Order: sequence, then structure tokens, then C-alpha cells
Amino acid sequence: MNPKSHWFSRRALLQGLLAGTAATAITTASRRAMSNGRARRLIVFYFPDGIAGRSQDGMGTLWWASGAGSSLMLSESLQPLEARKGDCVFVRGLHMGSTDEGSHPGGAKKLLTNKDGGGGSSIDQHLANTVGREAMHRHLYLGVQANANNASGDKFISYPSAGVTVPPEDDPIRAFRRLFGSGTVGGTPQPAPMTSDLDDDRSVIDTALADLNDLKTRAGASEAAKLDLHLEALRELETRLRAMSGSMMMGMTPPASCSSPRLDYAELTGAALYAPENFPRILKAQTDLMVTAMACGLTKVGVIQNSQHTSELIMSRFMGSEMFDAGFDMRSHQASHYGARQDRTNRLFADYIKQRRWWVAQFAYLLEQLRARPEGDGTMLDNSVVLLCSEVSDGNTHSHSDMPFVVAGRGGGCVSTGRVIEQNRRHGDLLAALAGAMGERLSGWGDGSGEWLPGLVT
Amino acid sequence: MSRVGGGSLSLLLLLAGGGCGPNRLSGTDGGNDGAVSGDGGGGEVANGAALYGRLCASCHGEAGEGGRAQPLQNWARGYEALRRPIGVSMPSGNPAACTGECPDRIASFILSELNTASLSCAATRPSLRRARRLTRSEYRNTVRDLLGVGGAATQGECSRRTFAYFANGRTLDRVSLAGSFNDWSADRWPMTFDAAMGAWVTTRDIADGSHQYKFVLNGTEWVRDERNPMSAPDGFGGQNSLLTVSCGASMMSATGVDVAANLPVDARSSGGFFDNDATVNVVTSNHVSEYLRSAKSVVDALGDRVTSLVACDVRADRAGCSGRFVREFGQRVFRRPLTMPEQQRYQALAMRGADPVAGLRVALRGMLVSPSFLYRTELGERQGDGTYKLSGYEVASALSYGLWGTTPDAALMTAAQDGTLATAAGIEREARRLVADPRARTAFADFAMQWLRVEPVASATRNATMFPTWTEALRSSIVEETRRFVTHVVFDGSHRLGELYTADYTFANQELAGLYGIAGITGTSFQRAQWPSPDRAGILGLSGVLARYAHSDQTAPIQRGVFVRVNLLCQEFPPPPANAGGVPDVDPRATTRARFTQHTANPACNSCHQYIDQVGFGFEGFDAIGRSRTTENGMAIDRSGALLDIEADGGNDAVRFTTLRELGQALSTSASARGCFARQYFRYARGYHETLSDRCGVRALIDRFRTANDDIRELMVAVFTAPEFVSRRER
Repeated sequence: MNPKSHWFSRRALLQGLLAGTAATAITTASRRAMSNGRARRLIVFYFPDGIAGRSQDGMGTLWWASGAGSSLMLSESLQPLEARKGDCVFVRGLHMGSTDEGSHPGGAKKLLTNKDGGGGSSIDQHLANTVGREAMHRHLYLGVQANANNASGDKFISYPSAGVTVPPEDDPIRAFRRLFGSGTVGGTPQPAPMTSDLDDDRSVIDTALADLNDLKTRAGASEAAKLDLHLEALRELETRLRAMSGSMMMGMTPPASCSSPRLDYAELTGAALYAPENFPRILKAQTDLMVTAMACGLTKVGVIQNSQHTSELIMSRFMGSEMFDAGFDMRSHQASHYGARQDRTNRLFADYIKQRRWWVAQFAYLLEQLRARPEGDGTMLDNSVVLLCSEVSDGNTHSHSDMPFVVAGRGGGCVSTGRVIEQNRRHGDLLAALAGAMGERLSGWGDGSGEWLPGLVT
Repeated sequence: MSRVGGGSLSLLLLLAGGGCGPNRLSGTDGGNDGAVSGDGGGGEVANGAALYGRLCASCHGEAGEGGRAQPLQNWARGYEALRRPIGVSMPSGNPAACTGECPDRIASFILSELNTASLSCAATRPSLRRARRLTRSEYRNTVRDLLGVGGAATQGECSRRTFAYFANGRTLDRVSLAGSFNDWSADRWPMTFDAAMGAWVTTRDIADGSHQYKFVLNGTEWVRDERNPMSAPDGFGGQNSLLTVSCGASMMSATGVDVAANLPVDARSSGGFFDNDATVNVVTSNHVSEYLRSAKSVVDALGDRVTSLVACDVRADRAGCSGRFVREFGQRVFRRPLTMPEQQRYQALAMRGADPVAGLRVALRGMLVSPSFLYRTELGERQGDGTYKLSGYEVASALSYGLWGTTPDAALMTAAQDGTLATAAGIEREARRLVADPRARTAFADFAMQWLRVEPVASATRNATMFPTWTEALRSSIVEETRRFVTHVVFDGSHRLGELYTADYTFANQELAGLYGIAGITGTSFQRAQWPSPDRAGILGLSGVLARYAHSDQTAPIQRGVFVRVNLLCQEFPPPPANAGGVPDVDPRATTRARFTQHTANPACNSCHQYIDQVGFGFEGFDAIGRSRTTENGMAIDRSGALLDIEADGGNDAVRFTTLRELGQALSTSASARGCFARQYFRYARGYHETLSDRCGVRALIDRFRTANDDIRELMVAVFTAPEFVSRRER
């Protein structure tokens, strides 16, 4: 059997169960996937500490793209995307407003919320609770050493509600178990999910829902946002349990790749999970996991957060990378303060360029994985929108102008790629347009945003 | 040398990363506590509050009480004398951030809202009603204390158990552990007295299986383990404690496995210190999944022993005994009596299926996933004046989690039930009982480790060539040292804040003795030891603090300076101005101090960094893992430092120092350091960052701490006996 039909039957089944009409849902889901010209998923890929933008002494940015189609040119920082540039839109000129400009945390707070100080929910969370709400997992937030140093909330980019961030899951094994329950990680079979107690599970969740409603009544106007998040979390779990028991009732076996998924990853625990030399393979595992979860239709909205802003990550310890140097420690944030000039004889600057290129190469790996999986008439990448971003523009000046955004994937046909869009406006317009690609019509997103970024999504 | 400009990082950014959120007024309290608009202020004042919070509060204090810059409360020199300097030179180093109507709005706000003479403490508002989700450690401790399972630290140490007998002041010659695992030998497994814990302890690997045990006091007196609620009749009219170990079973089995291991990491607020901040700790779908999974593994591990949680026979009288289980054990899980609907819901769960014992397990699972278990509420009951007063049960939970880090014991529940906790005297009596109990050490250590942020040292990386001794054993010793030191000072030492800053001793094992150059200490157990050099003092000299605020290959004077300003003095800094530019090029051959001195040559940077760098430079006598040093790259180190404006009142009270002991002395007598410690403890105990509403309460708390001669145990009591502690408001 080909994987394409697996995917459809599984997905359609789940949607059908949710709607209560499995048979008709298959047709509906198939038709929508084929023809409605919307992205099936959004993945945000974040890296810390910006790029070599316009320098303090006024030299132009080293992160640029120009032209279109076959004449599309990429700067050296973006070179790892050369093979995939036809699948990308390079968005230039967007800014995040002047509030907290000059600040990494201020930038991280605005990045996906477009609200000063993180004073609103982020676009990924909004989509999770709208177009993504019927998925088994509304949202998948994977980190790579993102919780290092007991990170406080301003290190994270995903906001379920105003002023509230949730820490991402840094451990691929834990994330894998939550998603799949069983399967194989690095050759080691993982225990099977608890399926014998599904009825008990549902009764327990029902009781928790009843208790929560009592608590909401008692709390009145207090803690409303918090208890609503809890309620949504319980409902999401209900959806999942219903789908699981449904698939057992129907005697339906999920596609092989989803019923016993594999992850090529050797488990790391304790300090090893936060050792810089292990960063590349943890990132690879989280990327593979994200793609697998998306391929199985488990979620429509995902965020991969690499490290954290003002990152202490020693990137010179990445074996096999161009910045590897066993005798020298160069951290991400350290390199980002390369000085006033773009001086290639300055080790900080030279390493910073290499580091930024490495992040782009990891983004390219994500795109290749999506492209390697057939879906519908094309590949997963064709049906996705994928956003590459960081919390500042130039790392040395902490500018919030000319932010480094790349959008990849054709969004199911609504994004035409292989070009550059240059606009001097708030990045909320980009976030709103990405939501539009997912089928969520917003007139804007956050502060100073009143429309979709022109020309990105049709 | 190929060591190019190593630490030239981050000046600007470390500031922000170190916790200098500019946005305290609106950003840390769900957006509505500090918003003065709710006080009925006009639009200008409300707008002024937001502007003040963003641009001024980080230096002048959220309530204008002063911080790094002068106090603005009770401004008596008139509007114009306030508005004009704001427009000309504020915020410091970045006056372009406040132009147009901004100075007027801020000046109006300061005059109308920060005037404590016109805004008396009687008019200030209670804090918000809250539901506080259990942290991972609270969840772990609670499950252990309710059910006696799941307390082991890691899966790798699954079979290892630490047994502790708290002598509660009683003097004993010897204590031993006897049970089915050692043929009930009264002398084979002796326990040793751990002065830091105040308990007799022993750590043993226990084989898989069900075991019974007791402690043997002075070789003759057999007693059960009072901290383990699981017990069975011993055949002599008493009870044996029960223990089940099943490490060979699947990893889903909870016994011996950390039941909180898979829970998502707890959140901290922006720039916040503590993992119990109720404003940001929510329940996500990952939480719910893990709660469900963890509850299942806990009840599976309990097996038929679930029946021992209630004193009736569920097989003989299913309905009656199930009802009793729900009522009695449910009250322990929810930390309050169940409502009628709850009683019915859990009774229904208990009656599911044909097996009455399995029914109890389902009911227990339900309880462990319920919001009534997962949140400890501080919602209170509505009073005639529209405010809310915490119930006795809510007070019991606040005391227990605040002072012990776990669920209330039977005495607290009784005090809640009989009305004791409805009175100030009753709360004080119970708070004092809890602070005197050895379990208070656990919670205080939890607070202190987060206040100092030492724990990440356990997974910190160092350059192996430069620091070959940076092993797992050393890192874990460093973390343990800090824990032992702070609990010793508070519970066994002088109890005073000053000793945290001035102690000339620490607790060292062989690893640490090597690091510090202390002679004559071998083995892995810790003992009290004098610092070999007079340079070190208290927490400033701990390797945990020195290594935490360092990079992999060099020291981090900016981080160390920010640590003193933010962690110890609660003086926050605004983010660098947008026009500060970046960091200039640096000379790679200079000392760390010289390189950073170049950074602050920029006046835009120096407006803040003068308060940071001079402090951090004073730590340069200690390298990135906390060893003493006198040279760097062959160059002599200048380790003199200065703490400008320590009392943050704009005066010229600079403290200049050449050793950390001198800095420690200065901090030990500083009003700022005292006030900050009280604030930090307030944040931990109350679960949020203080706001304008708390200005009078915090001031009173600091006064009580001061009049108690900085006795930290008195502070721990005072935060819960403050009159406003039991009062809450809707929004």
C-alpha cells in the first residue's frame, strides 16, 4: 500500500469520528485536501540571537535575497536554502515596532504575538485553538535546550494567553511518548499505550470536567483565562480518547508509519540533554518527530524553539560543523556581539556568520524532510507553511527592523514561492497572512496590523 | 593566544536576560492587578501608570519606593519640578523614549498615585483571588505523602531509598532500620544523624517486592515511620510501615519512579525567579496527559493496597465503604471536605465495574486528575464588603505548601476544621509549628535555590581543557553544598540574614575540599569547614553562586553584578536604549576586567552599567568554577570592587571593597538587602510578583523582619500572619 492512502484513511477516519459520520467525512476531507488551496499545517522554526543585519557602522545586511524564479539570489547566510529557494518566500523589511527595540526579551515577546510585552496570545496558539482544534494534539511545542538555566518566561515565544508562556518540551523521548504512546526509539521499543482503560480514562476526564466547572463557578471572574486553558486541555484530551476508542471500535489499524513510528535517536538524560555537543542530534530528533507527527495528522500547528534568546549555547562544540573548534568555546550570544563592523578577520563575526548559516541549514533539513513525504498530489511541503524566524534582526544592535523571516511551503496552493516580498510594515501582517493560509481569516494580528501582508497568500 | 574576545558578550543583553523586565506593572499579574485604571483614575493617570511601569519602575520601584534610583513616593517639590527633569533626562540614558505628553502623564501618575500620604494603607486593596497549580516538586511530595509512592529521585536510582527518622529534639544514642529486607535485625543497618536535616538517616538499595519495616531507637524501642502513611498491623498491637519496590517492572510502574518526572517544566514569569508563580503556571494538554498517566501508574503501583487507605472492608460492604473512602481519603486529596456533588461523582467512579477494589482505584485516579487536587485555591469566601476571606482549609494548604512544600498534615486539617485557622492567633501557632518542623528545611531550600538560581549548575558546561575537574560529582556536590549552607544558617545557625552574607564556613566533601583547597576532608559526606581564605564570605563565596554566574571558559562579571543587584537587592534595570548601539570591538589580549571596562566607555551603556560592572569586578578573584585566583593569562587581577548607591536612595553611599567578605559585610547591614530578601520570600510564599496593591503589606513585612533582628524564621511566619494574607479581591 502506498503511504499516501494510509495517511488519508487515518486522517479521514479521525475526522469522521469527530463529526460522527465517518463515511461521508472521507470524501469531505479528501476533497478539501485536494482543492481548497489552504495549508494543512504551520510549523514555526525559531533560532536565537538574530542575524548579521545592518551593522552599527551602517553596512548593509548580510541576510538578503533578491530577484525571483530562476534569477533568485541568496546572500551567503541563506546559502543552505539554495536547493529549496524555489519553495520559499523571502520576506524582507518587516519591523516589530519600536517598543523594547534593542532588547532580546522584548523581541521574543512580540515575535508571534505582535503585542508589546507579550500582551496577547501568539498566532500559533490562536491557530491551534481554531483550525487546529479537532486534531489529536492542537499544538506541538518542541524545544532544543530551550529550558536551559531555569529559563524564565520571557525566553519562550509561544503565548497561550496574554503574559503567559508555556515552556516547550526539550526531551524528544517524552514528546514521542505523548504523541505515539508506543513505537521504537533508537531501536528500543517503547511501552504500549494504555488502551485497556479507555472507558475509565473517559470517566475520569468527565469527572475532572465536572469538578472544573464547579471551580469556574466558584472562581467567578477570577482566574478565568487560566481555567479556560485547563478546560480546553481537558477537551483536547477528550477528543483524543474518543478518536482512540473509535479506531478500536471500528477495528481500524492506523497506517504502519503511525501505529509503530520510529525515531532515530539515542536517549539523553540529565546534563547530557543540555550538553552543547548533543544539540545537533536533539534538534534532528525533534525535527523528525515534528514531521512524523504532522505526517500522521496528529497536529496541525507546531513550533520548534532552538535554545533561547541571549543564548549561552556553545556552537563551536558542534562536531562536523564549520564552526567546530575543540579548543575554543564560542557561544551564540557572544558571537552576536561581533562589534561595530562586519570584519571577517574578527573571530566573533566570522563565527557568527557560520552559526547563522548553520541554523538556516537545519531549517533546510526540516524542509527536505517535509518534501520527502508524498501527500495528495505533491509533498507535505507543498501543503505546509513553515516560518523561519528569530527575535531580533542584527544581533549586535538588537534591531527590531528588517526582521529575518522566511516562509517556506506552498500552503496547499495558496502561496506562490520562489520570490522576495519587501514591505516596510508591522510583522503582524505576515502572521495574519500565515493564518489566512491556514484558512483562518483575520483582519490583522496584534498591534499596528490591519491586513494580510500583500502578495503572500492568495 | 587564540582566545579572542571571549566574554565580550552581552553587556546589554545580560541585563535583560537577568531579569530586568521593564514591564512589571502590567506584565506580571495577569495584566490586571497593577493596572491603576481599575482604581478609578482618569485616562491620563491610567496611561501614566503604564508609562511609569515601562519606563520608570525598574529603577524607581513599582510603587515609587526607590530602587536603583531615588524614591518618588511623597514627592513634595511640586509638579513642575517633577515634569521638567523627566522630559529632559529620563529615562536615564534614553530620554528619547519619553517625549510629548509622556512626561506630563508620568508626573501626574506619580503625584496622584504614589503619594502614600494621600493614599493611606487603609485604602490599599487585597491581592487577587488565585488558583495555584501544584509545581512538579509539590506534586511529587504530595503523592509521596498521600500514598507513600513515587518519591525516588531518578529512574536510575529506582531501588534506592532514603529512610529518615526525625527525632524532634529528642536525644538518642543510636537509631537503626529493621525490616523484612534485613531479617528484622536491630543493628545491621545503623542510621546516622544528619545535623543539617535534624534527622537520623540511611540510604539503602531495596530489592523488588513488598517490605515491612520499623525504626529501632536505642536498640530497644520499635517505632513506625511516621512520614510513610502506608502501614499494616505488626502482630503486637502496633503498625509496621509498608514499602513496595518494583524496579524490574515496566517503566510505567510508579513505585520507586519519580511520578513528576514527565510533567512539563514549571513556568516562571518574565524575569521571574520562582517555579510556583500562579500568574503563569497553567494546565496545558501535556499536563493533563501526564496527570492521567501518572495517576494510573500510581494506582497500579498501589494495587490492592488501595484498601489500606480506608478503615473498612470494601469487599464486604461496597457501597458503604466506597462512600467512606471517597469522603475520608478524598478530603486528604482535596485538602478540604468534598461537596455533595463531588461525593456523588467519585462514589459513581468507585462503583464502576464488578471489582470493588478496582473501583476504589478508579476513584483515586479521578481524584488525582481533578482540578481540586491539582490547584490549591486561594479564592476565599465572599465577605460583606465584597472582598473574600480564605477558608481555614485554604490557609492550611497555603501554610503547608509554603512552609513544607507538601500537603497539609492531620494537625493542620484539624486546625482548619475546628476554626483555629480562622483566627490570627491560630494561624501564627500553626505557622510556628511548621517552621520548627524539619520539613521546613525542604521548602526553604527550594526557595533559596531558586532565589540564588544555583540549580542549573548541575548541568552547566565547562571547557574541559581549562577545567578538567568539572565532573558530575563536583557539580552535584556544589548544588548540595548551597542547599546545606542555607538551611544550616536558617535552622541551625544564627537564623539571621546577615549570616548568609558573612559566614566564614561552608559544608564540604572531598570534591569541594579540592576545589577550595581545604585540607583533611575525604569521602563523599559533607562536613562543616572553615574557608581557607578570608576572602570568601557566605553565599557570595559559594562555588554554586560563583560558577552559576560564569561562562564555560571565563568569568561573567556582568552576570555577577546583576546577581547582586537583581537577586540580592531587587534593583532592576531597564532594557538598553534602542540607540545604545552594539558592543564595540575589544582587545582580545586584555584581562576580563579590562575588556568589560571598554564596553562601559559608552555613556549610553554606562548610565546603567556603572551600577553593575563595578560590583561584578569585585568577584574577579574567583574563576568560572569558583576557585581562587590571582592572575589571568599571566596578568595580575584587579579584584577591587564598588557597590554604588547600595541603599538606592540616590545618596552617595558607595561601598568600596577588596574582598567578598567586605561586600558581604556591607550587604549584611544593608536595608536594601533586607528589604529584598523579604520581597523575594514574599514572591515565593504568595506565588506572584508584588504589585502596587502590596506596597503597604510588603513594607510592613520588611518592618517585622527588621524588628525580629532579621531572623528568617520570623519572616517565614510573618508572611502568613500578616493581616492581609487571608484577604483577597475579585479583580
